[in-house]
Amino acid sequence: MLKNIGKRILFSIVVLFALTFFVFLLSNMMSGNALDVVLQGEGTISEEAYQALLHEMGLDLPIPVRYWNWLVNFLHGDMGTSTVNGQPVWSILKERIGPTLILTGSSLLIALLISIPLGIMSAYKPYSFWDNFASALAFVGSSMPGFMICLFGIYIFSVKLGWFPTSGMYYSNQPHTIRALLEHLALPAILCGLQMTGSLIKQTRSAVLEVMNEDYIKTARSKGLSEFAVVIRHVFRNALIPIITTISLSIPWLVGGAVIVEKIFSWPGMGSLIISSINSRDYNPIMGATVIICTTVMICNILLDILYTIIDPRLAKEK
Amino acid sequence: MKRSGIKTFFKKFIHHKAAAVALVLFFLELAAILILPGALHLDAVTSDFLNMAKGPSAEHIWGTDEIGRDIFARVLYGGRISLIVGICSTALSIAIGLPLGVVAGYYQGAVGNFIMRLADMFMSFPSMVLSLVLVTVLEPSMWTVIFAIGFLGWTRPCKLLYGSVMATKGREYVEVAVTLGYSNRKILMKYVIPNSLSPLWVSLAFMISSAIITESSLNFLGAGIQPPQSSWGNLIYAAQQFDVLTTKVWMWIPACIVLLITVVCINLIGEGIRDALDPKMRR
Repeated sequence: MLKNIGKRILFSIVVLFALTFFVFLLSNMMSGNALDVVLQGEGTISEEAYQALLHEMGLDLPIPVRYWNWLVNFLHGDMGTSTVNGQPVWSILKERIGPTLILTGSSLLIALLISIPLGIMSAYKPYSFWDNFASALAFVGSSMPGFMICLFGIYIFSVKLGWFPTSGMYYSNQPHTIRALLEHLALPAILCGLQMTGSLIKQTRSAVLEVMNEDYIKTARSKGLSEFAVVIRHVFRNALIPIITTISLSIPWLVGGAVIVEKIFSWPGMGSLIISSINSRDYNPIMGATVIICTTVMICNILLDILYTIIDPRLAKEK
Repeated sequence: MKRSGIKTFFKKFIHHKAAAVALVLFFLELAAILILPGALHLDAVTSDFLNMAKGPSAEHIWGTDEIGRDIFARVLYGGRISLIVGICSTALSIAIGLPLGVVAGYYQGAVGNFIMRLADMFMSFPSMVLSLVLVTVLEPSMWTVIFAIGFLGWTRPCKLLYGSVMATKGREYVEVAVTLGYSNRKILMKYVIPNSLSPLWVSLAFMISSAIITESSLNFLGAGIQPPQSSWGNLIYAAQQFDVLTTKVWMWIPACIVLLITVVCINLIGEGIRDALDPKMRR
């Protein structure tokens, strides 16, 4: 068990290096560089001055050398500074992580609260009203592009009904209260969560259906347990493994899908940071965000692996 | 698949009513996209300066955009692009993922392990962000969008083939072929690959629809097919301006609805194929 986790952590570290190199390579291959963006609208400068500035910013070195420099600095705890506003990358990221975690965490929670009860209900009574409702919702969830759910959501609930603010995290001219945060959070979190329900409902339903036919469920019923106890303690617990797999597969998606939700709602998180950094060729924040996203995804995957063995102790023995 | 096989397949497919309706609807839409622009002499790039940002009228039945281009024409021409992107990028994903999945599933060992770990690596990072960077690097255009979506989509066919090839490999007829001393190449081409493809057929439609969705999402983030060329994604992109979103709804809603209909149709066709190929998976 411990050996296995150790292996996974080692593998994750290798992946982290490979991915950061890949992203570094790609982002440095983008046409135009940070200097061009900074100089935009500043008038023309002489070729020598341009080269001197390039040299000062370290942009004239070959890409592998620059990656090596980035890596050495990173391992010393220095993620560099933003070329656009000169702020250290870590202090930019620090402000962004919280909002993204609030958004993705609450949308995951909403998705679970909707899809797990619905999935169980629809498997418990196949072809009932709830089953049809759940499969309709699952179909909409998996057919409707995320940004479209958001656009219609804003149009209906913010513009037409005026229930929620359309963008941002707080009201700009009011104190930052929890109430204001919740008002801003509700719509993006619900819409982002809805996008996840499609695969989660389907997975829960089929996992629960499979377990329902097992012999030990008959045993549990015949020894006189209440239906509630049978469903929650025996059926659901045994159906959890495939459900958790679906959740773990959707974690990168949740971080990536949040890019779109953050962009539409101008949510000040990691996603919108990445987009604006790509547009201004600001390499250091892109790299910093890459590291944070990768590490988060990997930690989540390892935690879920441990969770597997807690839910199903047989798995720990097998390994 | 023999002729009679196709016939039974089609009969089973028709049995899924919604899928049959979706197929008809999809063909109608396809016909509209292919024939109407030519037949009606529609022009998607010229501005009508007398009617800029006007709602639906007799002259422009779905209205015009900010610089007076006809929305109806743009949606139809955009449909061509979006469908090409969906189909070509799926083909590219399969072209990369299928051989890798087959090799990993059949030979396993160190190479197979490496391929599958590589797939895990690609899956552990949000592909939206990667394709965004990739499209920006390669300069946004239709072909780079196809390349980015197709290239980053290889993990899905690879994982599917890996699983099904491993299952097929254990079947008796493959063991017989091995005992008969056939070459690996012949075993793969004649027995393993043809019998491992059904999961791929089942998810083919879903791969196309998700590529279409990714194209429009990329465009929505500002990296995709650039005007004057139109695609559903860059039509919906207009909704990022607040006044377009709130008051000039004709500019983005038609493309949204057509995109939605297309994706729903393709997904329903996919469900029909799944039910016809694998009755066990039927809901």
